[in-house]
Amino acid sequence: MLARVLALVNRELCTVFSEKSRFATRILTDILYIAIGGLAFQAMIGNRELFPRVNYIEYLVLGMIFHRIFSDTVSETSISLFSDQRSGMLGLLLVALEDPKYIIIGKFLSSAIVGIISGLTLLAPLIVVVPSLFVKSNFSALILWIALSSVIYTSLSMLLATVAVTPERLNLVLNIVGSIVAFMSNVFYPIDYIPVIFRPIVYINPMTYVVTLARFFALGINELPFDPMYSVIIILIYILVSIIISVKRIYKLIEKTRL
Amino acid sequence: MKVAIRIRNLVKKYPRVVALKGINIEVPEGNIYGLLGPNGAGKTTTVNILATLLKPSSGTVQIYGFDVTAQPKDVRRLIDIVPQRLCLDLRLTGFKNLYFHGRLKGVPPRLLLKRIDELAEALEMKRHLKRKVREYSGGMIRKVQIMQALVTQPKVLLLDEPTLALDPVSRRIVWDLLKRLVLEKKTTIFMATHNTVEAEILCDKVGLLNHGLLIKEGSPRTLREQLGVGVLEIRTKEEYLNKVVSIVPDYLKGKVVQIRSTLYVFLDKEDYFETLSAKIRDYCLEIVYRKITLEDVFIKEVRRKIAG
Repeated sequence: MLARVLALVNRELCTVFSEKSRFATRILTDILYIAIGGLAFQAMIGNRELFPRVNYIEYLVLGMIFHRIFSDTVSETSISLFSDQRSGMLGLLLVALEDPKYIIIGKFLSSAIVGIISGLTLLAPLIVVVPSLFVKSNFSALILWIALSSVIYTSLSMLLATVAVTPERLNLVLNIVGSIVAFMSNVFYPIDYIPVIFRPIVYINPMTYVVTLARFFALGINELPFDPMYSVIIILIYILVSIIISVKRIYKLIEKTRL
Repeated sequence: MKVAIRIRNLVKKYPRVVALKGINIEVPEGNIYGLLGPNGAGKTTTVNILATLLKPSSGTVQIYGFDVTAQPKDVRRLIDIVPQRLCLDLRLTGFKNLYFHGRLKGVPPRLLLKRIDELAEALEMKRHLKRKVREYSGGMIRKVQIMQALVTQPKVLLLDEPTLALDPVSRRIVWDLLKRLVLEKKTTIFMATHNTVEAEILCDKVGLLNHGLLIKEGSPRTLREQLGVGVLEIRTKEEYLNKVVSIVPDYLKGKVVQIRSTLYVFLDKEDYFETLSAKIRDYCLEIVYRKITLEDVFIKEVRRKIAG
């Protein structure tokens, strides 16, 4: 059965990377944002260090990498599940793989791999663009966190994908939810810069914890007013809850598919 | 002979409509069964239930003794399906769609490549398989969908309008491939189709489904013979329709079907043709006598509006 699940993973990855230009455009957009937006914000903030030894560009780069992983896992998981459900392919996959759980495992693995590839693909040119960050950071911890965060985001993506079952909802998930998750977190700016009224959203946003831990593991800075261990616990709760709900919802989605 | 498919008192109710009202079908191993019926008759619902994608409201459906509701995984191991709707990944090439489907079904890579090659050769798709499916014509997409099910060589093959959008030559090739699969591998085929020629050529047994009821069942030949020896196709003007119907003798009244201002009179004996056509000639635009086909059986059974 493993070979058959891996065939599904292979199919999903081939589908995602069949449109290489789409993938490359996203990475290029991020680099442009870091280059233009990063420099503009740094000019506003000034050259002062946001945290000991860390300037704004270095701070932003880490946020952007984990934002890219989130965006790509969410969009690819949602689009894949949406198009497979619409076309009836989920039914064909069920007949082929015999058990819905293998479809879920296959989609989960492929989505996590997409996240890892996205993260590493953005990381590679940034090593050249912002070398100072990588001199300062714990590189192996950063790579490991990219892999783990891809798994974390995949579990959330699966949940969001089960909501995106109509074109309108798909649009909602990809644009509105994506924007809220990105801007109501510490991806682009420290939490202190976010108006107090939005802070509750920041603290229930899983992106905040993933990015905080990324900066903690790579640069040793903790932006939250509590021990990083609590961030790990919160993320684990998120993973558990989203996996339980998304698996149930995907089962229902598969059951609803007709040919 | 083993029974591959057994359907007993199958009922499927949707919130607003009863799609199947207690149908019974039995298909022996190595046979081709054709489910004919108009749009909305319940054919695709039946195929979806056989494919374990839809649960029956009541009744039992078994494939090689495995119940589709209680043992769906065992059933899925035995079947493959060519759905009516487009079920291919448009972003991938035809080859990749076939390859992944075969691998998902557990066909070993080397055997899979051999089968893809053979099928591509037979269906004249070899040079097209490297292109992305979104560049294909409707017929090519259909061919890949059929190839997809044929590469896995299942014990039971479910087909929903399999040759829709295919040209006559490609259709013949597909029929030949299906026949060979049955003869060489003892595959059982269950197909839902509108195409009466396809059913006549391919099927050992045909069931006519209308409004969720199986109204007629038998071999294509038996069904034709039950209807008579020939059919008189009478094209008349609207104003003469009642006149022509009144001339038809009483013993033939139950064998007349009207579609717009054309009458189909099913005859038990060929000599009725001469007698009847002599009487109605003056009121008709055209009178044609021909042998009964499965399409006539379909029209007679489904089109219940009987003239007169």
